[in-house]
Amino acid sequence: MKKQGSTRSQAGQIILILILVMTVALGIGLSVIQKSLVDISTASKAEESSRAFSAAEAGVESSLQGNTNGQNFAETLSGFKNVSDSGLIPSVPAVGSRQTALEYLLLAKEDIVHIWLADPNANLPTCVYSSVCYNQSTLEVYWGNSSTDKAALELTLVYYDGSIYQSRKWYLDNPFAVRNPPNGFDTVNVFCGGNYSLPGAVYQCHKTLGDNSGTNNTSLLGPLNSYKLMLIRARLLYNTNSQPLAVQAVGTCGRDCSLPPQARQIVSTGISGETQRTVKLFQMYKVVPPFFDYALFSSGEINK
Amino acid sequence: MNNQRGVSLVESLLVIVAVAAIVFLMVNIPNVVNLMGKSNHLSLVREIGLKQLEDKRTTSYINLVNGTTTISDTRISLLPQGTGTVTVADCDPSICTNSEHIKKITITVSWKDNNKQQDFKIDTFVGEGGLNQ
Repeated sequence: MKKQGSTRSQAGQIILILILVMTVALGIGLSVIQKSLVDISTASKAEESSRAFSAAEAGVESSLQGNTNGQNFAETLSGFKNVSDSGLIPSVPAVGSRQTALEYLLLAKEDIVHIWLADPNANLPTCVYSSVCYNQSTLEVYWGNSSTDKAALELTLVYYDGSIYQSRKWYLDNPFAVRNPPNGFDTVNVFCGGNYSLPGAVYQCHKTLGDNSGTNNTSLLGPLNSYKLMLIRARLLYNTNSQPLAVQAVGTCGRDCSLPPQARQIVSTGISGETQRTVKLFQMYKVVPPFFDYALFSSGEINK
Repeated sequence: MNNQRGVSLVESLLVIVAVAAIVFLMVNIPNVVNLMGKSNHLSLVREIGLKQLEDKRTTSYINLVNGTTTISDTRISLLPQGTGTVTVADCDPSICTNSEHIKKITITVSWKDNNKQQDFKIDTFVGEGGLNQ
């Protein structure tokens, strides 16, 4: 009886080992099957995603050429839709409302911002249509966000006088800065410490260019009535930390009172099957490089 | 003693389950191998197609000549009977209604999995002065 009991015990062990081995084998087998299913699913989704992305890029390409219509590619069952082209940053306001301010990211000391006053895509310096060149007599400028780190502002206006391009500079300083007036910067009617609030930031200083105030007369169009405004270069001075800058057009007559295009944003959504991919493109219009402000340009030879 | 020599119902069931599991695995192994191969091929094809697309996007618009060319990517030889073409065509006038300078690029890669024809196609537009131009 003792021997029979031992034999029975051994047979049970074999079954247990068999179950264990089968469980392990089944587990491995199922995991391999699951992995292959996940692989094929991932590959299919990646394929759909690539198609959707390419379709979205096609929408951007199409919009860059001025066509914002949707399109379907029949052979790949993909396509793009919802293509939007803002065309202008800041956007063109409706007649009766004012254009939103053009606010720049924080500028370090002596960083330069290029603000178009004429549409760079137009046939400059001709300003056939009023919307090509900024034609208002004043322009609002805001800068700085610190009451202790007081920034000054250098502005360079480039305009066309009918025969050649000309430029003029203004230096605007915070009236509470101890360096002024010894530095000779214009502080007349430069308002600082007023906490001028725009959607993107609260600004310390504000000046209305063209208000005919100041020792250097920031007139935009007073004596320049027949001149065409091309661009303004702005540079913060004296600031230790980076600070914001903004300009805002005046007037409420829609496009004719607005700043011309500075940049545009295109949004395109590509679709393929159940997959959607959206591509956003921010295109900044060509600007003059920073060394422009430090270089001497001449149409002819320069003689010492 | 008679009971001890026989095979219990539980033991029989366990053997049946074990055999079923083995059969299940054996039957599915070829499918699993095929699926793994297919997913590998699909990933490779996608890489080849996207590379071709990016190559076209970085080609100057003026050098995008209408027509169909064979893909010369060496990786295509890793596909069973793999072939591929790049087709450049003018944008359909019904889409580019203002004669915009846009080319339609179609990448097609074909290969065989288990003697079944597989195709990968992808379309896009490339415009003059557009992305990467």
